[in-house]
Amino acid sequence: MTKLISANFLRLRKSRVFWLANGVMAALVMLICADHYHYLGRETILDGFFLGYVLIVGFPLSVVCGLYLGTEYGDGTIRNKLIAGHTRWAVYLANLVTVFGAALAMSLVFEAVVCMVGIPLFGPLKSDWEFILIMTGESVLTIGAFSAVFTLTGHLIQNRAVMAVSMVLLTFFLFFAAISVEEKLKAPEFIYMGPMYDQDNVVVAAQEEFQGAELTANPQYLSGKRRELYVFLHDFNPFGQALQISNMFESHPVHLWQMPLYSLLIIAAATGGGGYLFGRKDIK
Amino acid sequence: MEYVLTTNALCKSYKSFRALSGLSMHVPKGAIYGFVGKNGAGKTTLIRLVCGLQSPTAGDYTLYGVKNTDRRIGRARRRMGAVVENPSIYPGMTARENLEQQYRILGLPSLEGWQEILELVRLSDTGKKKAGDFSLGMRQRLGIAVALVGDPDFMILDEPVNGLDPQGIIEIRELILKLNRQRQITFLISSHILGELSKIATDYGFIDNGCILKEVRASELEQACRRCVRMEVEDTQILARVLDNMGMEYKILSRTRADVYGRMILSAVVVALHEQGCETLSASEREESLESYYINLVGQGEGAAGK
Repeated sequence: MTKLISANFLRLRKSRVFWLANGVMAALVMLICADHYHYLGRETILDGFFLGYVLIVGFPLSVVCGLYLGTEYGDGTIRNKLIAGHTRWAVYLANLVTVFGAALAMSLVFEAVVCMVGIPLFGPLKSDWEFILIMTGESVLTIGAFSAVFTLTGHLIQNRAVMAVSMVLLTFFLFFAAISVEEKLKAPEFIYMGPMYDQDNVVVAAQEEFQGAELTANPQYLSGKRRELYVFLHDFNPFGQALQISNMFESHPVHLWQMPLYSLLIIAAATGGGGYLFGRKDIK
Repeated sequence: MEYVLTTNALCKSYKSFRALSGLSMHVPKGAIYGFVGKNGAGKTTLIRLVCGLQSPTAGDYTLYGVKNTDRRIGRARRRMGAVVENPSIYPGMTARENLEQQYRILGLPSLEGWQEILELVRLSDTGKKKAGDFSLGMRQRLGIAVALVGDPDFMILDEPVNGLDPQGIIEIRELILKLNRQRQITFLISSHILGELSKIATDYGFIDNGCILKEVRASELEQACRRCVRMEVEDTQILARVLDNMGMEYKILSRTRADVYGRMILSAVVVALHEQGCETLSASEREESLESYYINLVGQGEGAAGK
């Protein structure tokens, strides 16, 4: 398998899309830094976007992975590996390692630019190092989950165009699902209802300090089993994990043990199932 | 005879469609085995099975004496190279980079020999040109070059001259002959362009409807396809006597029909037959080409299937 990994990384190094994705990651960080500097200046707390790569990396990874694995099927080069006597499992696992490596490389580019631009501009991190290390470890597992899902998709669809589009669509679906679930979970338990006027008798949005506002239960608030289900979905979806990790500074603490567990579960299930199905697949 | 590849009652089904139904074939070592059949006959399916891209539904095959169910089949496959349908190359890489990729896949310790391979397939001067910008013939040759990495002694080429111009066809033909003669590489070449195949093949396997109809050596095929006069007479026993006296080669087909080979003076035969009380009913010159041989074979196969 090391032979395949070596060949895969050689190809990745020569991939223009991969380098373009790294460039996009670097450009995004600089944009984020510039934006924060513009609005908050040196008051910006670096921790707020220090692990932002975990939320972003899924998008370029879906494109890189779709084109990378799509070439294997589309140009038939996967046949060279199988004819050379490599097992299906070796081919699958080598591709998983490569996709994971690509994701880590893009994340490292993000972090490198954060350190080079962010630290001089906004100063060092405020959170304690232990917490940051734990969150970094969790983010690596989340990236692993992304990689496993994309590798699975990439090995089940033989058509290059369909594969690439499916991966991008899957990414957006997971992302919007995570945002939607987070919105629902963020809904407050109680809201202020009734006529809400300010001191000049003008109707305004609900704020407790305004006259006549009454505290009532929010019908949008999720409770009981439903809330548990949504919390589970949020912790299970890699983008849900990414949202929580990237907002670690604001919404601390996150579900520290559930998320890595679910990531490992996704990696194991996607790899086990993907490898099994790929092993039984008729390759053209 | 030593065989590189033998298949035994190999079957492959895709849902309800049977692509191969009990195919048995034998590829002798050192041969250029022409695998002949019309589109959809099952040629590519067999190649995919042998390359390990798909698994047989029933039956088995043996590659260098190793059965496909044996764990060592992967190691046996290392001794072969293949170009299945389109050449498997990375279009975004140069010829050299494509070879480098294959060197790594095979885990070869150094890139030694890459230049020689590119020279062999006449691609050594392509420099930084990407494979995606190559002509079809160049891509086909690069596919063969990639398959040659690791010095295989068995090559499988699936329709290698499909879509090539006459120059490209000649180049591929010469390359195959050179590799077979200089490096003793055994070839299994599938094609439906029989005229082209007949210029290089030493052995043939004719396939139709997923079955091998016949395996024949090129020399036997030449014998079967050579020019003859088909005679229809009242009694072929008398004809045989006459031809034996004249020292001619012949083949009795039925009580009234026979093929006579070599140059003959027809009037002399007719007179000799008449003197022995046997009249000549008809005589026509026949020459069977590889195409007509194949068509006759497929016709017989279909007839048999019909029965």
